[in-house]
Amino acid sequence: MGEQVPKGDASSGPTLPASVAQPAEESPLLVLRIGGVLFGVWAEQAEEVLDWHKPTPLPNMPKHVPGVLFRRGEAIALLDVGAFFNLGSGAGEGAGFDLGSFRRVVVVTQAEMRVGLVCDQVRGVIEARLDKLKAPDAVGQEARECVHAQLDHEIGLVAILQLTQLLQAARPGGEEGEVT
Amino acid sequence: MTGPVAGPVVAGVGDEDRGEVADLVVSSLADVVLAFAAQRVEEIVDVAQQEPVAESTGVLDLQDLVAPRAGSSGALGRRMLRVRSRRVATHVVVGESVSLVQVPKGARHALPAFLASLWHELGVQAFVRYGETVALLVDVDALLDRAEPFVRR
Repeated sequence: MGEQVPKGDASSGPTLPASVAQPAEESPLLVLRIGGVLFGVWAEQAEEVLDWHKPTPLPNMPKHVPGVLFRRGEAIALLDVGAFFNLGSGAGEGAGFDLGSFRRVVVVTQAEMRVGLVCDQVRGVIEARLDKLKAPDAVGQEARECVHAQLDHEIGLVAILQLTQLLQAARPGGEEGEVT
Repeated sequence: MTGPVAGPVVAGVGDEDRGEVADLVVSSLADVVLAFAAQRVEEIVDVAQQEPVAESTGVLDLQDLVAPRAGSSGALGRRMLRVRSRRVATHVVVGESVSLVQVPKGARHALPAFLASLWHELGVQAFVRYGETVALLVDVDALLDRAEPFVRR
């Protein structure tokens, strides 16, 4: 088991400013590195960070769902965000090599779904100034629909995930999550 | 449960109501292992045996649900389970071999909501992990409700 992340109320994250609103307001953002891209998840949406273990595969899974992990008796489906966004890396590469030692699973709950996001590295929690959030115009086309903002931070450009959209899109049997 | 069971009985016969173990009838089909609660399986027969089919209210070939893109490879040589839902009995065509296994109740895990759509038509709401095997646990009531369009009468 890994580090605990402050648990929120499973809302969809902080309310973003419409134009100029509460310029000094900050919210903790968990930053993950996936395939060379930094993604952010609002800390209140993350339940836990788990060490990487080889998941138990289930039949007929699309390639971006490598299987399930068992946490305190509960099966948690894994979502390989890198594979879903065609970024490379993630659960399919680097396992058993040095890359794998940094790999983590960030457990999130959104839209009544608890899912483990596979990432290459957890960079940590930063305080994101909400007035610094911008439209995600620097994000690749594959990920854009699942990113609701970007933050230019000293550690780099962070694409903040829209978890509801991501989980719905990546859900096996859904429109995007077709079995391959 | 009556009728022959092909394949090994992995453990002794148990009673699911004891609360510690579950008896399951399992069969492989198109790389998927399907499991049914043994007390819902009335009979296991060869597809070639026509008499039980005539008595049945319908036949459901699970390959139509598990691997529809592969097309039907025919049911010859495969086995059928006579299962009963709340309303009807139906013959469900599974794989070529059928086994009876006994697993601890702790081996049963609810299907994560994220995966619920994938086997919806099969009525799968849980899976069972024993040894190296992961079997999808088919809820007979849900299966026969949802798969009604696929039942041949």
